[in-house]
Amino acid sequence: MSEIKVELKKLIIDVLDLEDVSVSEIIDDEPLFVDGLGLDSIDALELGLAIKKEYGIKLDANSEDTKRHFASINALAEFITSQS
Amino acid sequence: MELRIKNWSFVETSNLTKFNCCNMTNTHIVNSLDIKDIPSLSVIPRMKKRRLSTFSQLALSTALDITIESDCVSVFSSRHGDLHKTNQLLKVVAGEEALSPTQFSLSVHNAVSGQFGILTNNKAASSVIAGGINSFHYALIEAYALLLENEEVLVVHTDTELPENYSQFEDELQVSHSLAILLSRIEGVPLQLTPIDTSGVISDPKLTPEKVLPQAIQFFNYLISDDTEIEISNKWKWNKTNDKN
Repeated sequence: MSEIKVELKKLIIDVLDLEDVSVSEIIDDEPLFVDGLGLDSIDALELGLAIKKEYGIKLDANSEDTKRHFASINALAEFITSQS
Repeated sequence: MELRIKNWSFVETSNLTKFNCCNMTNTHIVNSLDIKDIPSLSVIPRMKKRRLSTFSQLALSTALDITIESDCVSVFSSRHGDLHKTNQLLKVVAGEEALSPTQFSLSVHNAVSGQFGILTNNKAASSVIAGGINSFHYALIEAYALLLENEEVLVVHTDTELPENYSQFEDELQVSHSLAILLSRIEGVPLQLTPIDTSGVISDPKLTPEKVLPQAIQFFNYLISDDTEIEISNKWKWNKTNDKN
């Protein structure tokens, strides 16, 4: 589980051009969007695309579930593990 | 037409390794591999800066270097726009891969104008011009019209060197540059711009004209020189008018 979290953090830093953020600065249970890391809606689309490419998991952009899966690193890791 | 220049800011670079930046009061050369080190860009929040391409950063480095009223109208112009980004997106489309939403959302010709508005909280009207080799001068004509209703107009012209796969279309010397000019109806250095009527002139298609600098750079070199007049591309004539009358 912790391996996939580090993997996800690296993916986020890489695809969202967060070059001055380090893996340790992204906290597992903190919000990724708005508060916490401070990502926005374009980041959500970009991250959705990256997850599709990396893990072959397609996320529905309009679903409430997607919002929940994107809440934090913990939620995202749990979702991806459950899909594979 | 008479145009008054209240303020200006200019940056040029070759190979994006050294940035020659200057404005009405200062000249500084930024020796850096990273365009992000241009001082006027330091006001952009980190989370916003990460998405800005080289083209956007060049344009914003001069636009943000000029102090304007928050309701100042603007004209952004570019001959090629952010062609490096367009080129990249086209390659992705050709490879039948999914486009990056971030890149796609910032690929339109008015992306810089929008980013400028967001960064400076400027809600005034903004026009964006693409007019071929004459883009810079067409932007000034647009600004001249806007000056009838506005006291000041900000004009920002930006172009970068063409991507390598477009090199066969090069008809100018390739220098990445951006020139921001604040035009005023009342204040500033007055200059006279006269379009030259070329309708009766037939050019020999067999003659390849010698490549010259982009028009905005030619104009800028004239602006800071002691020359009283210049003709650019046989199409635009500039005179420094005497303001003492």
